[in-house]
Amino acid sequence: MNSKALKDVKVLDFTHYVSGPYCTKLLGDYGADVIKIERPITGDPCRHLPPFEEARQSPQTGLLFKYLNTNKKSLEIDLKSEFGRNAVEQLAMDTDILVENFRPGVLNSFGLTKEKLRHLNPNLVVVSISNFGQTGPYRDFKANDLIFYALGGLMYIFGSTDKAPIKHALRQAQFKAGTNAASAALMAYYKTLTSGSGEEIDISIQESISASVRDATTSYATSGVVRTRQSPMNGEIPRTPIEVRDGYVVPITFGSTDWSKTADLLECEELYNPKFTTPEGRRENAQEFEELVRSAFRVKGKQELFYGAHSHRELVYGLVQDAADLLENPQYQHDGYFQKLEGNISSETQFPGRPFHLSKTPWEIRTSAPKLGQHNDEILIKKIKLSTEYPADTGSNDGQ
Amino acid sequence: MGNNGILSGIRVVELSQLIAIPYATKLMSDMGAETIRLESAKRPDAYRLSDFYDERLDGDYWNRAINFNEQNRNKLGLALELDNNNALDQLYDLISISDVFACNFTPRVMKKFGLEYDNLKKIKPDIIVVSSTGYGHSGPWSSFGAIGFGTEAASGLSSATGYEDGPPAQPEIPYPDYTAAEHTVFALMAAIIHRSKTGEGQFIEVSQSECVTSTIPEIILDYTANKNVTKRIGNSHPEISPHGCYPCKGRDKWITIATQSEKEWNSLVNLLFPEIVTNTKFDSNESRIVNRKELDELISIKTMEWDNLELMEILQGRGVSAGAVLNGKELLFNQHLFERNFFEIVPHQPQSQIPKLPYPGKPWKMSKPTQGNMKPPPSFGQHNETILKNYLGLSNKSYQELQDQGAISEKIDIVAKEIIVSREERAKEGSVYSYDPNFKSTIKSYFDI
Repeated sequence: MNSKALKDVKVLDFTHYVSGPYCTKLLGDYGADVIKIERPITGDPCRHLPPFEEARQSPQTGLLFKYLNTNKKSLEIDLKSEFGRNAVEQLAMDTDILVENFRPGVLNSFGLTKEKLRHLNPNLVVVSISNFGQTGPYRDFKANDLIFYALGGLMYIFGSTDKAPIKHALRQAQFKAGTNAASAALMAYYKTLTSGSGEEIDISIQESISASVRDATTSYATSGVVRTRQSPMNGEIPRTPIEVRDGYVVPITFGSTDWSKTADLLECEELYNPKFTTPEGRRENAQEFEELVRSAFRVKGKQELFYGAHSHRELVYGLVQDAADLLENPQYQHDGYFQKLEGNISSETQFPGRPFHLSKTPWEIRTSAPKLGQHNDEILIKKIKLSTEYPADTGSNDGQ
Repeated sequence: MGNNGILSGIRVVELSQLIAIPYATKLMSDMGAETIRLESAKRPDAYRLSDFYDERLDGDYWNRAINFNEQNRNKLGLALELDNNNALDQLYDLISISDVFACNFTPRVMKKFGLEYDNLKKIKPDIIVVSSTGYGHSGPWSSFGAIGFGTEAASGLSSATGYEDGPPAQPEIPYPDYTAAEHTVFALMAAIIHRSKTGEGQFIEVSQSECVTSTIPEIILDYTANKNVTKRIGNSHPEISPHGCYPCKGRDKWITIATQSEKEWNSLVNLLFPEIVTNTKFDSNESRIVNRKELDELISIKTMEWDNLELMEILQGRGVSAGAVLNGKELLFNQHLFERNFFEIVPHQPQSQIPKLPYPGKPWKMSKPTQGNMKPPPSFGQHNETILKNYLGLSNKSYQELQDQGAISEKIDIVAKEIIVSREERAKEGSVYSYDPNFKSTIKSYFDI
């Protein structure tokens, strides 16, 4: 019986930075064999991104890289050389899913055109992730996460109406695209199991954002309304983080307009004043209401409010947690979520674990992120049986 | 139903609400899976009860609920009251001829109706069951209800997001529901592939909060390795300056600019204000980070003279990462997305009187597309008869009995929530950006539908 969902699925991974590596990490963490192609000397530039372990000496591989590249083998090879191209062409013949996130056209420039790949392996699933997709007027636009949020439509409805729009911290757009790429890859791979014909998949990071801002475009398409960012309270408690004594909670009244539950939770006598008990009254006295609510929240503790809210059925408050809170969180601890990894990593450092649990074929870290070129011999000599005289244009200085 | 897509032949039954499961199954239905959406007249999905096409509340308003319609295209609708034992038996029968059972109610609900994996695998040994919950299917927080604004807070993402010196911030959508749904699609595909090779089904637990935490490793790693707690810095980037959102000409128009190299900085500064090229305050990325605030103010003064789309085109032409901040209407009419056929044209049931509409498409394009095969979302209870009689072989008499017992229905006996403030007034007071009374003709002509 299999214990890995994607056992025997072979992935050839030409990706770097975040979107592509998260795609192939998902495939690898659920059992696929992933060979990561890295350029000589520097490797995936993500190796050099923070955070690092500050107590240890440089040079060291960044922790983001170590997170994103579990369960992968590293083949350090120059795709501009004939030797490199021959090697990857041989590998492509024995691959189920090829993933790349070069700028559009770059894979072609290495001679790995759609036609060539199709000829080498008619069943191959080719997944291309790029900023704005392989076609269209923005195809060659430069971008990072900030630009994806802007052109994806999520930024406009994010923040306060009296300030500039903002975005989520870090690299959400790229993670979204990576997840979607992994799903699409498996859909196409699933089809090859029955119909035996491959597929080219075009993933646009912008579209990964746009697909999930349904509300924004659908609101206009169905009612002519263009939505905006968070406006002042206007007599209702905003479902946005609100300051409490020791942090923030998100007050959420789930489908309920019953104000008394919130008033009970806050234990604030003044909120029972008749002028606040109806929506109209709260609207009329919006400013006074806001001041009262804010001060009522400010004297309460976050745990007290969060757990107190959940004892009522229609209050599903959110608890704003930072990393320190998460490490202590009883649910995350119950799930064994955070993970320590082997491979020259401090015993303090912990990694996010399984995003979801498959009961029969669980998430598993079989190997830590590879050193650059760690598996050159294994892949070139043992797997595709090249002579031992492959060009040693490595000189890896990865510090690992 | 299905549309001859990649996933045709896979049957999914969903007992779901709002987004986390319906969005996941939407992506699979768009690819050809046959999805049967369970509904209840007594406890309808909140998305049946709010936001109606053209804000019309009359008649069978629930069939004009836009969030329901958008997410349930290509699905079949079965309205069944599970507190009726005969109806519940029909659901078990349906699961016995299905591949996936997907649920995003709390474990309490699954238990109440005997829909836990251990029970369902007795009915269908190779069934794949997915439970998507805010925090987990078992454990101390598993009984807590949640919507995206709560799980986003719990995940760690909100703590690092927001204006500098301001509170944590969240977008105006239940963001983690989508992140969780995207992971759910992947999880289901992995389980489906495993089943097709081994014949073995399984149980999938998705914690919406943990899915999001898996996408913010930087925060976890920097804290555990270095005890650094990530601070909120708005649109700034710790290693890059300038990197921000700047005002442009017009009401609430903005452009984002991210200079990821010295070359990009030179192109930007030569276009906007060549006079500061030699200013030592800004002559390296390091000095620009130190003087970030002053620089952002200088850039804002210049960008205000520009139209955001025009400035984006010019900057991109010079190799600078720049993007206009698109609102919902601008996104819907964005030329790039239009040329890529991103929006799917979705028909509706004729009696709903809703025309074909452009709805957000799939976040992937396959070389052999399924584009153009969109089927309308089901009206409430539309496929009761098809599923119960044709799929499950229920006799006319038994069907009639279920109807008489109120266990199946085609209508919802709840009065729609009144709209307190009209869209015209909302536009006037600024809680929405604008209201365009001509939206129907504008969409019809732009998409030629």
